[in-house]
Amino acid sequence: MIDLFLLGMREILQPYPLIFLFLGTVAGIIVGCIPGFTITMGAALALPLTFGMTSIQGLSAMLGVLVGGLAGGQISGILLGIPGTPSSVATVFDGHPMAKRGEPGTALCLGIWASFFGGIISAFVLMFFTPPLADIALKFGPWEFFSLVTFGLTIIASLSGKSLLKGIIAGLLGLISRLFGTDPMTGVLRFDFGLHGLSGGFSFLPILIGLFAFSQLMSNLERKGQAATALIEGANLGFSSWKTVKTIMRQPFNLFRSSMIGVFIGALPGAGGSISNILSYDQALKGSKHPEKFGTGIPDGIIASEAANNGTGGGELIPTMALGVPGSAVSAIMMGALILHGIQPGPMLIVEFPDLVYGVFVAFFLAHFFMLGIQLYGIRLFVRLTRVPLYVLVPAILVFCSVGSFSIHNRFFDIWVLFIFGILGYLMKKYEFPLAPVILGVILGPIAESNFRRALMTSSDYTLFFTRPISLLFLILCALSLLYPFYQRYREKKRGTKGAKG
Amino acid sequence: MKEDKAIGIMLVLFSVLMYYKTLEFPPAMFGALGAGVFPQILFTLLALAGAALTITGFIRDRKKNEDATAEKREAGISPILYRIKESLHYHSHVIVSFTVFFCYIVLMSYFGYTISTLIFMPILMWILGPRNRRAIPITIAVSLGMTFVMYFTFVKFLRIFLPEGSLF
Repeated sequence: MIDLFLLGMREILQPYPLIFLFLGTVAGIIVGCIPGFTITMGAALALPLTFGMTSIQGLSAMLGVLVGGLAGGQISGILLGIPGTPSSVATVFDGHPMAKRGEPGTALCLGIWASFFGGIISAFVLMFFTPPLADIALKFGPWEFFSLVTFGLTIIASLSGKSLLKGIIAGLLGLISRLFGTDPMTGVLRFDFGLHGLSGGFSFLPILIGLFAFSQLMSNLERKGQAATALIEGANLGFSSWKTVKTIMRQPFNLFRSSMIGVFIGALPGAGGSISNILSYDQALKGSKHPEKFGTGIPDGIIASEAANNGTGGGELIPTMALGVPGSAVSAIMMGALILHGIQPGPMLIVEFPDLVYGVFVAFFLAHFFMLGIQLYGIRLFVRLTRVPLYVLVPAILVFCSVGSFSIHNRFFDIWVLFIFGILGYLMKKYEFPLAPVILGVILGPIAESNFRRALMTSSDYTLFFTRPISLLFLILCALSLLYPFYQRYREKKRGTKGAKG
Repeated sequence: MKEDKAIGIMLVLFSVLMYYKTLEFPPAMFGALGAGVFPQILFTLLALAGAALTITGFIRDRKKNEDATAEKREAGISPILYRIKESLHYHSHVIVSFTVFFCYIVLMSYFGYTISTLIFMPILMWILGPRNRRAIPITIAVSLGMTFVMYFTFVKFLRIFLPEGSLF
């Protein structure tokens, strides 16, 4: 274990990986703090830049974006009352009142340190749980993998929105988008409609940028005339790290519980920071001795939310690195980065590329130190960034999107793919289809198909999916995750009628 | 949502069409699964999901029907036209941006990345931004700056090609 850890350190503690990790963290904080820009968008935009790098450099940059983004969302949340990312929604509940009371510096500092501690705790969990999980997964055959991927997709569908049905449709559309072009197993051209460009299929990068960057920009344009909300006048951004750390250390239980909630939620495929921060805030409120003070601007709420969302980061990397099944849209993009560099994620990853996997652990760990330093010293700069007007940002990022999509295969067709999926993503958002299942479908589609066919090639017996115990377990989990929303609704209804009677 | 029914029907039609296409795929040899089987499963599922979306849409609408007729009466003579107009106004920036981006891609296919970007950026910024004197220097600076930054990071630093046009 230690020697592998040292191997990872050797990979990361070199000038280039460190520089890219640092730049990634800065970029992550930037996308995090601008409301309307998501971490997924940041990761999608960072991906094309990693072509010119080695795989470990590229992954460092993406990890930086993840960690920075999870922590950066609090800046606009606390100062403007608008969460910068869905992962810091609960931070606003107590962070904004505290800032309005005249202590924005303290609120920010609390959030930064809570993010740091939450992230570090999750980094340890990540390091200790990934290798044994991968060990188990090594015994998986194609049947188990197909069932696991199916489970991943259903849980995503059931967790990521108001309507389970729309989540499923979104996931299916993602899977379908990868069917176009040459079939990898038989070489048959599928659905090319006589177009030369389509013979190579839709590659995932333009789909990704189209869905998550392009469509997001367009949604931001809807709110016309929405000028940057004025910052709190005469804000006192000063803070004392020493006092803040003491405040946090006085609540070890809250910190630990929140971080672990984050890790656990993150490790579930599909459930990410947007859920964990609210869940953890809720638990902190329920477990508190003074629940009436929540929402008035007390440190407990900020700690709960921020520790949880950075905890999610480590959690979502566990299934990604150990099983090759991403925990969220962002880790799906990281898997995409691996695939781009010719590395197939999966349980073999840790056997074949231990340096890379442990490098990721070390980088994730270090990214939190970068995040801490950058935020503590550069917070004023990021505050100013939240005021850059949209008319400057949108064209600049669109220009970047088009190069990013083009660069993967140097294919002009990919820019059209970007455009088409930009429109599709925008319409889907408009009609309340969740986007996260699409991207997981896009990444997992080829894996699902090849394992499905490999399984049936090994033996034409369909029942093997149900008679192999682990495969059956995943399929049962699959069914449970599909039925859970119905159970939930039933319970709510029951409670509702009871409440009405009482 | 009102549109759910229409979206569901479109999904079913799309699935049926695509399923029909898969029948043209040649069967695989040596007992392996053909290229069409997995797509067929997916399109079947999508068709079922689309149908379910339409049906739930109808069920929900029947519940709401009474309120809706009252609303319609209030809206006056041409509620649909009014709604389209409202929606167009609300989405005007989005529609214009998509159109300008479309033109940008077409332009790029002839003139290459750098020239078309230098044209695209100021136009979109002018459309979206405030049309005052302060915006002009910002527009010029950002357009030029972004084009140079893109050129240097991609071509010089990362050694990645930029899209070339057929004319230049």
